[in-house]
Amino acid sequence: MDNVHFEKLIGTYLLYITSKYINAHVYVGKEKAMELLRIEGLTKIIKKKKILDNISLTVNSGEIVGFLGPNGAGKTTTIKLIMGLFTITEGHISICGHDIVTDFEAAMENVGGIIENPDLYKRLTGRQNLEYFASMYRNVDKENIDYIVNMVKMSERIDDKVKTYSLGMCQRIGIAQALLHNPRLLVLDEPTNGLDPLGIKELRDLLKYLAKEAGVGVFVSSHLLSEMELMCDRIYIIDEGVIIGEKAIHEEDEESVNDDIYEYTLLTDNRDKTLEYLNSIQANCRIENGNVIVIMKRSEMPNIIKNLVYRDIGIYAASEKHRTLEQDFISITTGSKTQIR
Amino acid sequence: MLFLRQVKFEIMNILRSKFILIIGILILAICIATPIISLFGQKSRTDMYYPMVARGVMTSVVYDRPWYPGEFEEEPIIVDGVTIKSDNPFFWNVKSLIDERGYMENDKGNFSSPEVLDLILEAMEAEQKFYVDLARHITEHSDYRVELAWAGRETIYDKFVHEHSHLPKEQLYEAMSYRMGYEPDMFDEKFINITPEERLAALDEIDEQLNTLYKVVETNDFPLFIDLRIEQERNNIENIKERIAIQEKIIIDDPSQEEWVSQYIEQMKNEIELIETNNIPTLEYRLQNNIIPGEDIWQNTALSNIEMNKRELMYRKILTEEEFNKERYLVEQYKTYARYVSAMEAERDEINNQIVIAQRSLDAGKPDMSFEPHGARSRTFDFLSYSSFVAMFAILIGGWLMASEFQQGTIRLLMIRPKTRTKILMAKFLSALIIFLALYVLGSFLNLITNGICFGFKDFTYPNFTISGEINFFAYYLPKFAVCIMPAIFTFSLSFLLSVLIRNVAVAIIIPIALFIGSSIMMQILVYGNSVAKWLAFTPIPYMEFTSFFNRYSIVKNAIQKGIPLGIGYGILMLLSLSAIFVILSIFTFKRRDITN
Repeated sequence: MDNVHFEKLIGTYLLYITSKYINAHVYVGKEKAMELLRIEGLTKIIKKKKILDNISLTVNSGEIVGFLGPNGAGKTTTIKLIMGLFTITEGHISICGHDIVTDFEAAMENVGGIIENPDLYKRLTGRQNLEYFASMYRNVDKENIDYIVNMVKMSERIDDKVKTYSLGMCQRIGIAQALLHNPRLLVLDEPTNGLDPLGIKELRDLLKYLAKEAGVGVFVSSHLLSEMELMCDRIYIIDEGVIIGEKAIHEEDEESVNDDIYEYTLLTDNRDKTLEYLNSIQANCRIENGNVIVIMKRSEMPNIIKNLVYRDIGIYAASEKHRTLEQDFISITTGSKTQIR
Repeated sequence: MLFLRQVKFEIMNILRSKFILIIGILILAICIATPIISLFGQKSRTDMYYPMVARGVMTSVVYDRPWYPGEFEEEPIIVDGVTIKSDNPFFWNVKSLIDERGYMENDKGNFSSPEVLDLILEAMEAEQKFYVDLARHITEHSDYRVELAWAGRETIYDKFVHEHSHLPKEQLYEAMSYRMGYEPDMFDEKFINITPEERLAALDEIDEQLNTLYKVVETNDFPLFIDLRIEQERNNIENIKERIAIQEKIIIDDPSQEEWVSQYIEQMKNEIELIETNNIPTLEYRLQNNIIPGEDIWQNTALSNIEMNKRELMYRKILTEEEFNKERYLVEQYKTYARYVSAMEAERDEINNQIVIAQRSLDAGKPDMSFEPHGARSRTFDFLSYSSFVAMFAILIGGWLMASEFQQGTIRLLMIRPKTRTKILMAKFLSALIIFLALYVLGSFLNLITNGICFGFKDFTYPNFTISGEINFFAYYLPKFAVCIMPAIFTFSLSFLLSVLIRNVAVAIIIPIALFIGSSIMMQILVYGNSVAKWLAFTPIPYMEFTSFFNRYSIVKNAIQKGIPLGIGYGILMLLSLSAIFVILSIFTFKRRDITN
């Protein structure tokens, strides 16, 4: 996507909603983060089976929170509970301070979302779908719909019947319907399904923009871990209905020296001697695809290279690889080791 | 206000479904097409009665459509210089006489002697001559003078017998009974055992009657026609009296036969009473008001209605308890005498009401709806059964409405809106309700207008007659119109509930349709069955078609007669309260449901 054009669009959108709801809930600055979604002790039992067990999480304004978990872990169940599609067995969910059980309508005014695939009315056009959904909110008018359609780049096709749309186009309309009423919280279930790589980038940029500039809180589940890494501020990891980890992802600051553990791939002219040396200093090393892999702190690495050179071992290359979220994820979830529930 | 906006958008959403829209438009097209089709159907149905009788079996109803001439036309017959066309009311009489005579000459062996055959042929020739004389003057089936032919034929044969009384009695009897079916006793009494003076007097009388008949036929003199008809009726009374005298003689000769013979006598006395109190006064009324029989006017329908009802009243006398107990089938049907009496009284009241209504309508000079069965009012009223179409449509829309949301998965995007489930459900329910009610009103209105265009708006200006007086047609029609939509509301609520419960469009539609159609079959079985299914009154089964409450003969009337307590008000109450229960149930289940798909 042409980033300049995109910025312009988002700018118009922001300007538009700012002018419209100046006193309502346009996020100003980053100093005051509001709690938009709060889940406390959420338990869901379906047919005597505990799908979710005592889940608690929060989403603040201006924050993109990821929700990771293997298939059948309870991601969609959680999202359905947040959106009021499921009844709560135990616990509380509140959106912008409104409990979704006792104050459903007020709570839902503040959320937009996609759950699973965005199944639209196929007999209607994209616009008719949006108009129909818009009719259930207080303040959504035709102009607003036009802005959002433009934003998801569907202006050309919006008056075609949905049955002629591709999955990616449906997904775009799905995003449009979620943003229709200018919600403070976005809850997205696998929103990148069916989008092309460019579309995924656009969505990512859009979500980042909404979070950082408009202060929208975003709660997004996805199985694309790299996606999560690229856009989330925080990630909850769920497995078998229990939250088993919460991880903050910091934006990498290239300037600062960090001392994390990295994985290094060494390509040398004498593999045996290299291994001999590494073993002698009791480093965590192994051979993979004919290369020597060593895992250690970054600060120790220059020393090792110095020593290898000193031992007359020729080094062609030494590459660094960050320990990824994927590895974290696999190491802490059961993943596909057990059967999907 | 917000809710109304939601309903408005729901209506738009539903109407954007091609499936619903096309069915709706088709139904509206039926409303307009029905009167137009029957308008064409009616045109091709003029004057079909007599040729069909004469031909015996003739399956096609279409005979003389103006745009397709000659389809059933036969060659005209020329007899004695008179050309009789195939659409003449006596064409088939004459033609069959000619044909039959042809056959009989080839078939001599069937008769005891050649003289008998000659006699028959001679009599048939006389009959043919009579018909040809009539055919010369009467060319329309609807002509009232056609009526004279039936009694006239008898007179012709009487005359023939008298004129041939010199022949042997056996021959004469064989020949005459071949054509007329005389009873032997009667034949002797009337033609054989009389003095020559009596015979002369009888012949004089016959000649006078025939003269009058021919005079009426030739001059088209309606008052004279009435005189003749009254005289024919009086003769008829005389004939019946003679027959009674013979029967009384039989009782004296053979008392063992008293029981059934006296029943027969009773019947004949009834017949006399009927002629005196019904046929003759009607003829006099026709003369006074110049209501010519055979003409296509409502007064004729009203008069024959009165005649028919009076006849029916005669045969529906309430038996005494003793007589009732003797009739096993009555005991079986009604169980107790009291129930029989009340059922019979209700029936007699109904018949009396019909007579009063017909009389009132005639006196006022304005036709009741029932005497204009092809008028705009009758057609509009009959079209109340259109509500069944609407009920089917309501089932379609109700079953489709929620289940399709589940099946398409759109329910998810719907349920995340800031509207409670009750509101979403009610908006959908109301929007569909509005759509099919609008279809009902619009369809009936279009039908009414088309009826007016096809059959004349003037008919709507006439009042309907009830036992308590005159009532404007629309005042009579509209309450029934409102009542008839109740089953649709009921079936709609049912399919809506199933739609929420089962979440499958096909099932939610098929079950109510099966129940709706099944209810009329159930009614047939339960009402015409042996046992009296009183519990039927506590189910919605009899109330699936309210039109049957407004007809004189219907399965509902039959059920009421059998002692099943059915009532319109009670039915409405039941259907509406069941509908309300269905709606509450659907809200209740929908509120607690997890949207799993």
